[in-house]
Amino acid sequence: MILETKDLKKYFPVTKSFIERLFTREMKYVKAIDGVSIDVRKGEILSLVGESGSGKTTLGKLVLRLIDPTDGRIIFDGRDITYLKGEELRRLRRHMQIIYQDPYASLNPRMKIGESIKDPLIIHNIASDQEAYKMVLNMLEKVGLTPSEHFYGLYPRSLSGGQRQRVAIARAMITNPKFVVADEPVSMIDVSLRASILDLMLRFKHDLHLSYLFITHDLAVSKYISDRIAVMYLAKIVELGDVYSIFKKPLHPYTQALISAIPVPYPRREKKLSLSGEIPSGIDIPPGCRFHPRCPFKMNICSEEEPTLRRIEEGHYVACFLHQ
Amino acid sequence: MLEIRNLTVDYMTRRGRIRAVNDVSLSIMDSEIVGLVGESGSGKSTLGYAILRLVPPPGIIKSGRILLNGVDLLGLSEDEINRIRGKDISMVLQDPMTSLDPLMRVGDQLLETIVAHENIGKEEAREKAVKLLEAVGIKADRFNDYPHQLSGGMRQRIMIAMAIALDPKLVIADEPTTALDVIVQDQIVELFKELRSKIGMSLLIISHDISLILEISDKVGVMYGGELMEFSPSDEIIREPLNPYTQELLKAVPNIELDDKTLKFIPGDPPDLLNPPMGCMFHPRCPRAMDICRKDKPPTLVVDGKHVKCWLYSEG
Amino acid sequence: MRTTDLIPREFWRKIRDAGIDGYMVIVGLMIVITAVILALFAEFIAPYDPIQRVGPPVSPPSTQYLLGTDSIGRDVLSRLIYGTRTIMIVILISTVLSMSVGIPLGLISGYIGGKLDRLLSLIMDSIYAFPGLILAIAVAAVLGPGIYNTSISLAVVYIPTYFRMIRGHVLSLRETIFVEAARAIGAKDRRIMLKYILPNTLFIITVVFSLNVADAVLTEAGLSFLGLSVASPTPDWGFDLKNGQRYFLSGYWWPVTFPGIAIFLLALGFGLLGEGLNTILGKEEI
Repeated sequence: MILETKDLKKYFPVTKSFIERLFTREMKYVKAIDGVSIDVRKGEILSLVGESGSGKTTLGKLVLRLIDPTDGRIIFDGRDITYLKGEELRRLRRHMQIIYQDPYASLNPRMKIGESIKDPLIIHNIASDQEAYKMVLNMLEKVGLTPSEHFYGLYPRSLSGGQRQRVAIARAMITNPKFVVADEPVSMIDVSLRASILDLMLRFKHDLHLSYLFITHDLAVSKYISDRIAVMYLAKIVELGDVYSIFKKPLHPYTQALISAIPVPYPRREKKLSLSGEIPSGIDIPPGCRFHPRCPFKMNICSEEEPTLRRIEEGHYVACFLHQ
Repeated sequence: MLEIRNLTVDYMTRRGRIRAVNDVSLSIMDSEIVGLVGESGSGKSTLGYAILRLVPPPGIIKSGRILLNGVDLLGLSEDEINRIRGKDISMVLQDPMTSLDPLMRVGDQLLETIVAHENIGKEEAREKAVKLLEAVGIKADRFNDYPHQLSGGMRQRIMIAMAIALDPKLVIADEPTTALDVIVQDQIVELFKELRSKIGMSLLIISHDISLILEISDKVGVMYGGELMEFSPSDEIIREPLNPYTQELLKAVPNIELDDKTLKFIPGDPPDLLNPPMGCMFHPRCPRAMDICRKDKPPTLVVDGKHVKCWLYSEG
Repeated sequence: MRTTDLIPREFWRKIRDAGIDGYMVIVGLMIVITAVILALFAEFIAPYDPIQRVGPPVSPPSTQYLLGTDSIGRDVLSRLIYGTRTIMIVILISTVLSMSVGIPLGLISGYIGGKLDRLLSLIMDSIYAFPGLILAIAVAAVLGPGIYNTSISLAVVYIPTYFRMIRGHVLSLRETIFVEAARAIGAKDRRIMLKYILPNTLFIITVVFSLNVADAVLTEAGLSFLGLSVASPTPDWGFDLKNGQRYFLSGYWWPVTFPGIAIFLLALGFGLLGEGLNTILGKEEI
C-alpha cells in the first residue's frame, strides 16, 4: 500500500453575505469530501472517476497535502502524514508528485522548460547544477522532446499543448517519485495525441514502479489506463472495483448511468440508463443516499438511511441498498 | 438546403497566411444532422463561423460559395446577412456563460430574442418563451432566474432555446457539450435529437470528439489541417472509414465496448499551418503515405455517396 | 535573471504591432532617451557653464545664446541641459528607493497574507491617501533641500503605488496553478516568491514605473519651484521656472518658458511611455 485514506473529510466554509451574518450564527459548509477511504496499492493505477463537483480534484490535493483535511487520516508509504508540516512535509514532496489538467497553466511562463524540470532536483538537493542539467536533458529525451538541448532553452509559450504536458510529466518524474496524482492529464490534449501521453505515463509507471491516482471524468480513458476504478458522487465513493468488474458488472445505478452516457460509435446500442437532473451542490447534500433524487431505482429506505460501501465480491464494493 | 462549395478561409496573421479552411465543399439536407470532427486547428470552428460570415479578424473568406436554399450568403449585404443570422441560421457556442448577459433574467433574454425578430405582442411572446423553455426541458419557474443561478447544463439548454426561438432552418452548434460532464452531455445530445424530429431543423454540430459526432450525426465530415478529409454517412464511417486519418483517429479513441486495452496514437504533431506540408496535409503522419502524397494534393473522390480526399482511392 | 529575459525580442514586435499605443511608446522613449543623453553628456553638449555668468542679464534668444540668458546672465540652454541631469538623478534615486522598498514589501505582504498583510496595507493605504505633492512637501520640509533628500521625499510618495500594484498582482498569482505546482514539488516560500511570482510581475513593475516617473517629474519640479528641492545655484528646472516667472511680466519670456517646456516634455515623454506600455502589456498579460 503506497497511499491510504481513512474516513477523509474536507469541508470548505461558505462565505456568507453581511446580511446573512447578521441573522444566522450557524456556519455553512461545502462538503467537498465527506468520508472517503481509499487505498492505492504499490505499482497500481487507481482511477477516480466522477463528474465535476464530485470532489475528485479536492481528494487529489488532499492526499498530496496541498490542502489541509478537515478530518480523517492520510497514510503515505506506511507513515501518517495527515498533520505533517513545514520542512518534513516539504522533504516528503519529492516522493509524491502531481500532473495537472491544464499544461498551459501548470508551468511558469517566465521559466525555461529545462529550468522548470530541473527545479525539483535543485530544491531537494538531489544533484549538483551540472548533474541536474544532464539529468534534465536525459529526461527530455525520455519524454520525446528532442533535440533536448534545443527544448531545454524554450519557454512554455513556444510549445504545443501536448509538448507542454510532456514537460509537466518530465518535471513530475525527475525526482523518481513513488506516487503521482494525475488530475485529468489528457482532457485538454488533442485526441490523436492523448494515447501517446497515456502511453508515456504507463512507461514511467513501469520503469519507476510508481503508483498513480488517476483523476478523470472520462470512463473510457480510465478503462484504458487503470487497474482499479473508484466512482465518486457528491463527495463520496459509491463504487470501487477492478476495471473488469466495473465495466462488466457495474452495480451502482450511477456507475451504470456514467457508462451508458459515454458516446459510442456503432453498433448503436440501446441506452441502458439515462439520468435526469444534475449533480447538486455540496452545500445541500440530500439526506439518505445522496444519489436518490436522481436514481431511477429509488426505494423508500434510500431517502432515510445512507448506504455504506459494502463488499459484494472479491475486490468489488458498492454503496447502494439494491445490493445489501 | 445548405451547400458549401469550395470554401477557403484565410487568417492573415503577422507571421504569415494561415489557410484555416482549404477548398471545402459539403452540403446539409433538410432536417439532417451533420457532424464536423477535427482536432484543434483543423478549421472546423472557422468553417462554422464562416457560414454566418462571422469569421473573426484577421480572418477573411477568400473564395467559395455558401448557398442557403440557392441564395449565396457571401453575396448578401451586411443588412441581409444580419436578417439571416438568428432567423434562418443560429448558433450555439461552447461556453454559454460568455453568450448570456449575466445581469439579465434568462427568460427576458429569450423574450428579447423573440421580440427583436418577430412582430408579436408581449403576452404572446411570453407564452412562446415559456413553451420554448419547456421544449428544452426547463421548467417555467426558472424564467426569472439569472444565468449564474443555473447549472452549466441548464445554461446550455437556454442557449439552445434561444437558438431555436425563431424556427431556424439550421442550427450550428460549436462544441456544445465540451464544457459539460458526460451525463449532461448525453442529455443535451438527446435533446438535439428530439428537437430535430419535433421541429425538423438541420443541425451542424462541431466537436473534437469523434465518438460523440458519430453517435449523433447522420453524416460526418472529418477535418484535418483545414481540409475535409472525408465526408460520408456516419454508418459508413463506422463500418469502413476510407481516409487513413479517420482510420487512425478511430483507433486512437478509447472504446468502452471493446475489451482490447491497446490504444494507438498517431505519431507526430498536427501540421503547422504557417508551413503546411507539401501534398497531402496528413502524409507526414500517415502510415500509408505514398510518393505522390508528398508531392500533390489528393483530389476529392466520390464513391457511392462517400467523399474522400486521398490518393489511395484514385485511378487504380 | 538576464536582461534578455526582461526585454524579449517579441516585446519589440508587440510595440511595432500595437498601432497608436506603439507610437506612444516610441515617441515617449525618444524623449526619455534624449533626456538621458543630455543628462549623461551635459558637459559636452552644453555650450556654457550653467552656474557662471556668461553674458548680459536677460538677453533674448540669439545665435550666441540660443535660448537667451536669465536674470543674472546665465545661459538658459546650458542650465536646461544640466538641469536634465539634476532631475534625472533625483528620479533615478527615488525610483530605485521606492522600488526596493515597495516591491519586496508588496511581494511578501501579498504572498504571506494574514496580519502582516493587513498592517502593511493599512500603512501603505494611509500614505497613499495623501496627495503626492503635499506629502512630498511635508517630507522635504523635514529633511531639508539637497538631491538625496529630494529623492527620499519623492520615494516616500511612490512606495505605496509599487506596494499596492505588486501586492494585488501577487494575490492573484498566488492562486495560479503553476504556483501551486511549485509548492507541490517542494519549493520553499522564498523560492516561490523569487522564481515563480516576481518574474511574472515584471510587466506591472514596468508599467507602474513609467507612470510614476511622469508624475515624479512634476512633483520634483513642484518641490523645487517652492524652493524645497535642490539648493541654488545647482541648475534645476523647477527652480529656474520660479526665478524666471518674476520677469515674465516685464516681457522677458524666455527664462520661464523654456524650463516650463522642458518639464512638460519630460513628463509627457514618460507619460506616453507609461500609458502605451500599460495598454500593450496589459492586453497581453491580463
